Amino acid sequence: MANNQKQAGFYTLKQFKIRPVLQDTTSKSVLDQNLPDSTELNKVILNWGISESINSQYVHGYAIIHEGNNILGDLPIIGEEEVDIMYIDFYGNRRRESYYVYAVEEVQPENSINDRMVKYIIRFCSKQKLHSDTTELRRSYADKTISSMVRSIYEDYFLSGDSTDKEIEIEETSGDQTLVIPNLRPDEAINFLARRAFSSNSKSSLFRFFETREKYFFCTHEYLIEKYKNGVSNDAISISNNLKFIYSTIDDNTGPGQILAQQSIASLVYGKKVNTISDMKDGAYRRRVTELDYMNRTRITRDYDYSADHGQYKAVDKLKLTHTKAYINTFMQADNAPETVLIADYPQIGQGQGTDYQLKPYQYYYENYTTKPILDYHMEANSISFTIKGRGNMYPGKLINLELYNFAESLSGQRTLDKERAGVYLVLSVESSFINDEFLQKLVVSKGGLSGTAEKPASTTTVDTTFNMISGLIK
Amino acid sequence: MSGLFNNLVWFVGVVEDSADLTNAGRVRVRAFGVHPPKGEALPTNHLPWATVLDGTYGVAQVVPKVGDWVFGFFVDGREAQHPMVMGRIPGMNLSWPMGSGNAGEDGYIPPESLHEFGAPPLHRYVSGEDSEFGQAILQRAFQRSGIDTAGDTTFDEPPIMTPERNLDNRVIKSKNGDNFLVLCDPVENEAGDFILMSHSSGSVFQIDPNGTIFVKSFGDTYNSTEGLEFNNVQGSQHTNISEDWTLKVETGSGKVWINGDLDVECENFNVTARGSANIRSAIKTNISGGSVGIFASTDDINLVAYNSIKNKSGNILNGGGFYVQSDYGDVHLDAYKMNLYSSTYTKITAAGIPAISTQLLPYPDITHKGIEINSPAVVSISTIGALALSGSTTSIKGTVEANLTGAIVDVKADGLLNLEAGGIASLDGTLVNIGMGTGAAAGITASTTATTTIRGTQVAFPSAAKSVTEVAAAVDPGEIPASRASIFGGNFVERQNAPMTSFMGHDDDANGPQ
Repeated sequence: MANNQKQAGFYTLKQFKIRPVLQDTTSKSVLDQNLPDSTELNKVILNWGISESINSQYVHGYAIIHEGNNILGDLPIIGEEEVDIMYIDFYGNRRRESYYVYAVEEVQPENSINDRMVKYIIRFCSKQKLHSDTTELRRSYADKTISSMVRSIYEDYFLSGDSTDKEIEIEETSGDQTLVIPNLRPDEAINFLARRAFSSNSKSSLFRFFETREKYFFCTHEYLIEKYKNGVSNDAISISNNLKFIYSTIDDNTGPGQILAQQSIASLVYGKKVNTISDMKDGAYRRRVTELDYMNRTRITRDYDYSADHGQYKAVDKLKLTHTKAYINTFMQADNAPETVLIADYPQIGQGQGTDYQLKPYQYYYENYTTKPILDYHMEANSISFTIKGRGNMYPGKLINLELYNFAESLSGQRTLDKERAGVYLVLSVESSFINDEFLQKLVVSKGGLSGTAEKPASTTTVDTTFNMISGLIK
Repeated sequence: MSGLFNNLVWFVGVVEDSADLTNAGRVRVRAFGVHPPKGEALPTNHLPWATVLDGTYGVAQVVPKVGDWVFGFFVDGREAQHPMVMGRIPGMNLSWPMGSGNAGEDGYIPPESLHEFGAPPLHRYVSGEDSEFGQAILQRAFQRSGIDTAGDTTFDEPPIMTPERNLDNRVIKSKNGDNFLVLCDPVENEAGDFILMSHSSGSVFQIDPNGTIFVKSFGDTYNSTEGLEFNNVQGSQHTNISEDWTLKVETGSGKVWINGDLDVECENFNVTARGSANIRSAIKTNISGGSVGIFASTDDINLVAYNSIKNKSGNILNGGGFYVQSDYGDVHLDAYKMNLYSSTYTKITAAGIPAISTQLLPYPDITHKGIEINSPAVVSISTIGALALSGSTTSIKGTVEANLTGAIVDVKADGLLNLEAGGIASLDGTLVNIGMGTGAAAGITASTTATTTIRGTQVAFPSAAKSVTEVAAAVDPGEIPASRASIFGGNFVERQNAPMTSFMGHDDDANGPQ
């Protein structure tokens, strides 16, 4: 329950223990050890953080340690340790997370006049990341959907048997495949599969494999939108889920004011509005895929036009194109679109696949090499970043509801919604920073474009009522 | 462009499967560092098919064999789903494949290549190693020498080149190297400059440093052409056949032209001509044999000589004779002079059966019988011994004079004895005895007219003629017809078009290639 006396973003680091992974270095299994006593570092850590993103296969973090007890040399810290972190956020939610220390960097005196203290950075990652990285995957999967291959890899290489193992959420893919994993780490292998995965339910097929502090995901952003859309279906629900954020400059140290501050965004950066040359070169709207079937001396070329197709993707809102269709048709023609050349070693229409894997099943090259990069491009190009006061349950992949205002009116004090930008966003990444007793999170979010002007964003409330609704929650 | 060929990942791998059912010549390669050793994690049939690049541009389409180490790249880089093979890496297998039961097993070596263990990387005609293997020993063991010709000479087979170390040799070989083509350039002071095409059976085609072409088959040899065949031998040709030899010309005719002599020696010499058999010699035709038979199965035998026809038979030891039998036909001898001589005796016998003949004769057969001797001058029958004339009716008549002279002349008739003279009848002797019982002599006419009755209708000599009406008529050599004309119009030297040619592609239209 919220504490009215707390400042927004307040948190308490209850524990930051470090201990060697192995009690006996000759032991074979990391996981079967009776861990030795740990060393508490929470008094010597003032700044630490955790990063997670839908573009990253693992959660990783850092901690800056200031100490004069030679923990670094005596423990020692040699990249064979785990840290056990426990903290309490503004809402009183207690979180406990464990990571592996994999690097110690920037070891240096505390400052130029105090060489009795040392400052260094330890970097850590999720335990399952390190566990899976101990294996290099070289094997085949035959006659399986890619989603089932992902599940096999996860179960075989990511599950350590430790109680901290996370579950994985997998979106089903379409079509059986036979693939050889060519000497890749398990997370690289799943990314390899993600590039080939096709979903008949999610048109973009933009599969991503990522880890949050909560769980693993192998899914498309369309799947995430479908999964979390009910949590932000309107302002009231968004507010009740603490997923409604506003741009507020009100300085109110009261309890409700701090609650409001918890839902306020800062350091808002919209990023780029448009980059036409980049849109041309990177194929923001048109792409060409050429498949070379050299056994049949056949070249199959297909063009994809996102400008004609963009409304068919699941999005947080009805989106509009940055450029006009007339401009796209004039300056971004299909013949000049980026071309991807691939080898078609699957049967032509009407031809059998043969026995014993003589030919591959249909590979979805055209679909994957058009929709994935284009959707990814627009997601990144239209991303915005800002900072919020931290909370333990904010993860990449979630949807949030932003209330953003037009600039001009904001300056004049007459705030009106920016109908293009306000609304529901998909959280792409979360960088949690813990500095002294403040917990901040930098979010990168995107909805893949600007909302269509003819359509209202998901928010249906007025600007003036938002404050009241958020404040009303705490009354 | 993106997607391919930008970040190639090179690899070295082992071929595990070459049975590409698409007939594209692809292979499955287990790439070191990319794929694990053979096992459940990645069975062979899950390996991606690798396209084998053809650096010969279609001249020699070779599919790497199982067990070959190959070098190549993944077109799609680290994705490693589209391998291509650029070439084969030579080497010797000195590790055992997994499952062989030997120490040092390697999960990257397919069991199918077990026979490659220890095999030198280079062919024995390049490295000289393993020269004891292969067909060279067989070829050397069966090198024939002293082969008889039909003349008095012999010849030897040329030796077949044996394996030796020569790194300049070019060898084009089959998968296991059992069948190969060796190309060797001349090297100063060394044997070389040969072409050898050798089969695992030992059969070989070789052109040696002298340019001698040697073809030897350890199996059978067939030469077959749908067109013509021409052989030109500027020297001699010798053929030695251990067993049978046959020659059959199916539809045309044959001709043998030999400037010198043609000697044919065999056990039995049988010539069958379905038409005529003609033997022509400019000087002499000699036919000899233990026995010589000439048989005309349907017609006459004609012997014609520009000069005489001479027959000689027998000798003092075998007493061979000259026999002519023509039981149902005539024997006619017409000559300028004719002598019959026998050392012992001569018999002329005519059975006297009336002749019935349809043959064209100078006089009809009717009434002819017996033996007639005609002469316009003299018929002399002379004997040192007795001369007996005997017949049911015996007549001696001299149209001018008939003399019957002897030391003793007995004229005796068992019946009547008639003596008659148109003129004076004289009977004179030192003593003339006339006996009794002839009282009826007077008034009885002597039967001398009987002589004309005996001759029948036979014309007298002036009317006699030559009796040979079927004159021997042999074929004049100049009239011997030429060989039957070829069904191809006799145009042997014009090359015939092949019925099918390789340039007839499947896209050619009915008018043939343009």
